[in-house]
Order: sequence, then structure tokens, then C-alpha cells
Amino acid sequence: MIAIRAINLRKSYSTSNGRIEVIKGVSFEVRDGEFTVIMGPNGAGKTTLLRIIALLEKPDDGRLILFGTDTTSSWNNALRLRGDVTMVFQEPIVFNMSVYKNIALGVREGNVRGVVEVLAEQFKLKNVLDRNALSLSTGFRKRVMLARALACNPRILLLDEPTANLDGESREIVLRILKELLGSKTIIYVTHYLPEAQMFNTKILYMEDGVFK
Amino acid sequence: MYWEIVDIVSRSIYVAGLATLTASTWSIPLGLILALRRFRGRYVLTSIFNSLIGFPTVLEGLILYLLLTRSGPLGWLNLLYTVNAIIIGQALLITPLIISFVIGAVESIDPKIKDAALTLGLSGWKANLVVISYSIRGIIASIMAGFNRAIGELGVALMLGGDIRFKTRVITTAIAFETGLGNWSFALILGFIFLLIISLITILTFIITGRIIARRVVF
Repeated sequence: MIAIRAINLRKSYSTSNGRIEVIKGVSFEVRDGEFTVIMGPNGAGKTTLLRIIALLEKPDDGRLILFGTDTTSSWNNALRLRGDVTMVFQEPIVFNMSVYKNIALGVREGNVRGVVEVLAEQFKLKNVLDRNALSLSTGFRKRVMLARALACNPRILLLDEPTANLDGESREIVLRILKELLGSKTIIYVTHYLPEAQMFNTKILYMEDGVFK
Repeated sequence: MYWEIVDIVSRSIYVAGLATLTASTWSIPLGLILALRRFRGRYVLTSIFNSLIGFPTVLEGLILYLLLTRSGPLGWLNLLYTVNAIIIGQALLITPLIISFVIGAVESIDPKIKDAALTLGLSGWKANLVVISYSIRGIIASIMAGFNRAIGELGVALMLGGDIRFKTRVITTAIAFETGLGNWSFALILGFIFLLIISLITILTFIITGRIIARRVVF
């Protein structure tokens, strides 16, 4: 089954220097359970593309079909898919509440405590569950973000440079868990580092100036 | 003199407090809508409220006076020269101020906070609640700014209240009146009390707010 089908996606923004086209007709497909890496320089449009797939922004033109649902023809249909498509941002965005509550916020079904405890164990967060997530280091915050994203059991996981600015231990944990997820979730992984991209032994797309090269 | 000061101060706090409470009931929701929803005319409305912050209190007092005067369209309400008239006038006066401050407080929050909540599958209003929980301190500050503006204004209180002793006299009108009579010391005492009240209420509010935020009762 095709999880993501993007057909000629376009997106532009108004700036003080006029309109700038960030995504210039991007088309690609990702099968269910496939791990895809997107590489490219800063300003290539990678994050914007992820934001469109995460249904945080509408494309100006083109079609985005997620699991057979055309999100561009009906925005209401698209909104129903939120939560099925989860994005982990480049910046360590955690909510001003305990680590436990941060992760619990993502749980959509099942035993909340059980899900949180399993994820806390996986991400080595057990000792900080009661601490305010904002008081943690960047590495811990990123682990919380990823645990929170996995808590809602998304069908598509979008990762925008999840290992950027991470300490060795956090990087190791994140990469180990992502390897464990290989094949079980549709994942799009954006990174700058080629060795990291090659580590997953999977499809690598190269984006530059708003298009795949 | 002592009882007169107590009478004036308590009335000032009552009038400004009730005006702030009243204005907050519509200003906070309106500010939140303008900050969180995207719709046509949003920027125009925001700009109008921003510019209305500088609306002259005397002009507003005059307009309301003409509406509430016995021969005016709302004269049948018999509100002119009552405490209620001052409350209405002050509530209207501080409305644009609270709205603008609430918009500023909410818009200063990193938009990615809301995005992060949305991608977890939270509904739009729950994601907004997350943003609002971050803005609580700013929203409280906007209420305090409204209260301070209300208690410190003169035009509305003078024109709609008439500065009637033991009936509608508040601190600002009393200071103006006593200064006119040459009672400098009495006017200065009232001025110091006025500054003390504003400082105490503001400090207390922020201490209480800090405790509320620390307990995370919002979300």
C-alpha cells in the first residue's frame, strides 16, 4: 500500500522581497512501512515538505494523498489524519509540564500509564518522568519529543533532523530506536549527515532548491 | 478626613475592579479569537483595537455623557452621575487595551508549540488551550494593565460620575478637585495612596499568578 503519494506539490511564501517558491513541483511515493531519508542543504525546502505532509500547511498546488485519502481535495478529511501523521521538529519543543504528561498527551488509545512507562524505559526517561520537561537538556527534550510522537502510535512519522545538537548518549538512543522501528512504520527522516543517512540502508532522496534532484 | 479617604479609596477599587472584571469577560475571549483564529479582516480589527488604546478619556466621557444624559437616547436608564455609569465607561475604555495585550501575549508564544500539539492529533481547541496555558502570565498582565488604566483615568469618572462627594467621588477626581481648592496635602496623600494601591495589587496578583502557574492548574 502507498502511504504517501505527493503529486507536483508547490508551496510559496510572501516575503519582503516578494513571493518565494520553496517547493517547486515535488512528486514522490513512499510505501507503507518504508523508511525514506531526505537530504539536502539548508533552505532546500525539506522542512516545508515535512510540514505539508504533517498537514500543518496546505500546498498551493498539487495533490497529497495519505493512505488513499486525498488531503488536498478536502481539508476536513485531511484533519482527520492528524495524529496518524506525527512530526518531530528540529527544535526541542516540549510542553511546559512534566515529562510524564508530555508523553501522555500523545497517547490516543490504550492504557496511558502503561504506554508512557514502556516509552520511558525505551528512551531512558524513567528517572525524569516527574520533572518539568522544560528543565531538561536538549538531548533529553528531544528524547521526550520522540517518545511523545511514538505515544500516539502514528502511521507516518516525520523526523526533522532528530539527532541535530544531541549528545552521544541521546543520539545513540534515538538511532537505536529508529532502527528498531524499521519496517514497522512509515518514516521520513531528514538529515544533513550522509553517514547517518546510510546507516539505515534505505532509500535516500536528495532535495535542492525546492525539487528532488 | 480619615473616613472620607476610606470612602474614596474603597469606591475607586470597587469601580475599577468591577470595570476590569466586566471588560475582561468580552475582551479576553475577543483577544484570544483575534490571536488564534485566521480570518479576513483580522489585521484590520487588531489595528483598530491597537489605535483605540489612545482614545481620549474625556472624549469617551463626552460621548457617553450625551448618550446617558436625561434627554439622550439612553437617558431613561437614569445612569448618569452614578457609580454604574463610571463602571460602564471604564469598562469600555479599557476594552481595547486588554484585547491588544491579550493578542500580544498569545502571539509571542512560539507557533511551533501549537504545531507540536496538532501533530499529536490534539483537536484545534485543545492545541489552542496549550498555547493559552503558555500565555497565562501575559493575560493576567493585560488584566492588571486594564485595572491600572481604569483606576488611574480621570475623564470618564469626572464626566459620568460628576465627582459627587460620598457618592461617585474616586481618587483621581478627588485629587483634581482638592488641587483646585488648593488642598495640596490632601491631594498628595490621595496620590500616594493611589500609587500604593496600584503597586500592592500588581505585586499580589503576580505572586498569586506565579503560584497558579507553578501548580500547572491550567492544563
